[in-house]
Amino acid sequence: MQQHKSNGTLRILADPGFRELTSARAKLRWSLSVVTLIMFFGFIVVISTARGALGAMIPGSAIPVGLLLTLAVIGLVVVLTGIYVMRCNSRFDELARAVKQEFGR
Amino acid sequence: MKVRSLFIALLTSLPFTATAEAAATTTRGPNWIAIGMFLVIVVTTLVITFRSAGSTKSKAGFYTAGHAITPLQNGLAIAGDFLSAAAFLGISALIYANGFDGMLYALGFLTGWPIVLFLMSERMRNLGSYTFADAVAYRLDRTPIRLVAAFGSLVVVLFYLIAQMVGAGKVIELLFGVNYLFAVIGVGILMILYVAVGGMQATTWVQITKAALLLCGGTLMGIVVLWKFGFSFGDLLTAAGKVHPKGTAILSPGGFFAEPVSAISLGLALVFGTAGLPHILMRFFTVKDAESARKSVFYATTCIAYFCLIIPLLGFGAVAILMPDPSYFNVGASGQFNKITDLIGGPNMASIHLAQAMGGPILLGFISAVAFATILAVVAGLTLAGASAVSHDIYGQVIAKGQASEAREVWVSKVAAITIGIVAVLLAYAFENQNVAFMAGLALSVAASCNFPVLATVIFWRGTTTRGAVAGGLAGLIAAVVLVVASKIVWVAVFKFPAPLFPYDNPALFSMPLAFLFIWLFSITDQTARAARERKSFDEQFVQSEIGMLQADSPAPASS
Repeated sequence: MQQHKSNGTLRILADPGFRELTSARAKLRWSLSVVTLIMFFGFIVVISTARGALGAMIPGSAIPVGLLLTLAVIGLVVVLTGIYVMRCNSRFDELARAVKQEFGR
Repeated sequence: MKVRSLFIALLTSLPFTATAEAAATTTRGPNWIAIGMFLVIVVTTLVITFRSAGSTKSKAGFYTAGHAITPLQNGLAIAGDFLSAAAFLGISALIYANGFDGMLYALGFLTGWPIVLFLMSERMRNLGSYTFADAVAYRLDRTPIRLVAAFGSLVVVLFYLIAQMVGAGKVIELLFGVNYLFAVIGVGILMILYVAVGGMQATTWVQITKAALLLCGGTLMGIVVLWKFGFSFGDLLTAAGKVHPKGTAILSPGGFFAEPVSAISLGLALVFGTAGLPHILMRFFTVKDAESARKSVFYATTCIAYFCLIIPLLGFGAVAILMPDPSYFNVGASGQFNKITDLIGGPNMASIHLAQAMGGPILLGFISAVAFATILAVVAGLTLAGASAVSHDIYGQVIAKGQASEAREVWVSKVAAITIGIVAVLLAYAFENQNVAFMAGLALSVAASCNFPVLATVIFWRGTTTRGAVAGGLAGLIAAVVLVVASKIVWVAVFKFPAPLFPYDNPALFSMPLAFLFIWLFSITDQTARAARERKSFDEQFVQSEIGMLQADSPAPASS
């Protein structure tokens, strides 16, 4: 049982389609994660260092810069998840299906 | 039977206590609209529950609603699970009291979601079937690792549950004039019924109902507030800055995040804690495959982000509209009152009072009912996650070694749900007058320091062994709890010592790296045959986690 399974595993691991899928997806996953974390923790550092600048109003309005930035970061979070989901839907699902079909399960 | 007696109890006691309360405070009569809507929610959710009863005969039905929830439904349910009363009432209260700083909490809560999506959701669905422990036990030794995972889950669930139940008791006491103990027992009975009778199917639909109500209620309030200020966000902020005791300082970053160590520590707990919450991770098994799990996180993130955009309207709106009006405050004999702490029922009631101010008793009734539904959905999700950890991980996989019949395991989880419900009610009663704010934070810290490091290393690092994962998980768990106890929020606020032993408010910056360090250290030094086998089976786990070859109902028997 274990033997049979690991043979199948090795064959899938060596499959070019599988390799393309996993390396491209890993690249997307880790780069988006890093962007998200830098954005959030960078924002925290900015807040704790540049408090005065963030409290200034945007010229011609009564909305402070910091608040607008926060709202923008909220929007960006959705955009980042959207990018990941769109890439997966349009590309990775196809690749995964092809691999699964090839190995007949 | 239980249902009928609950109804009789509700119907007989509610109006009386409500009237008594009204007479005592003399500000408002019993809000019949609120009570009516509250009953509508109770009846609707119970109908959902009893219609779902047939779905709980099999394990898959009980734990995961047969993996048959659609991505959109699951996305709403995740949002419903995540946006607790602490998020709705708590964050609007933080904005009410501190302005801008409150917004950062909302942002922290949201930022956990992309991480969940990128790192967890799809792999979780591919590797597990019922609980997140399935995924960590895929290639590790079943008994010890499931015990650690189940223990981590139960600690998180229990702390979160106490925080929610105490909050629920207070909110219901205030909204409906019901006695605290009775409110807590009522919530306990309802959540036990949802989970024990309706399983995941009922819990999911309670969460969907709540998410829809919360998003609609929030939108309605947001529109009304904006309308009051001529649809100008700037005018709203200006008005808020004029009447807040801190003045325009509420529009810029304040003291909360002035100290970077505490701020980053809190950020870590918020971001990575979300990726380790057992009741959230469990939701990925309710859909049919990894693709649907991923889509459901996108829907959930969108809903939560939308909510984060509404919440400042409510918080700043409450400042601008409530603060100039003394009738919302407990005014002292001298006519003086504190615009934050003297708000009737405390700052947590800011959104509720705002509803009264903007739309009279009808909007107040609706928003109160939304708050109530919010509480119910979250506690039900937590109870189900706790019950599954007991029945599937501890009973099914550790005690019965996977040999228990489905009917037996489902029976155990129903008993576990009832037990957890009773324990939660007792603890909520015991903690009535304690400051429980630290418990929600502690739950997130434990999730970030125990569940998340174990999951992340098992999934992504070939070198992880059972010994490492167990040592790291326990180290993170113990460190998080000990550091919270030694920090100001417990050591000074609860135990009344003059100075905290641990200077920061949140332990995650220390306990999370400690967990990773222990996992690494105890894994690389593990030279047993079992460790070699576990490293070798990483390939198979990798294939399964990437493309889910065995999209079966049971976890692959790698560790058996």
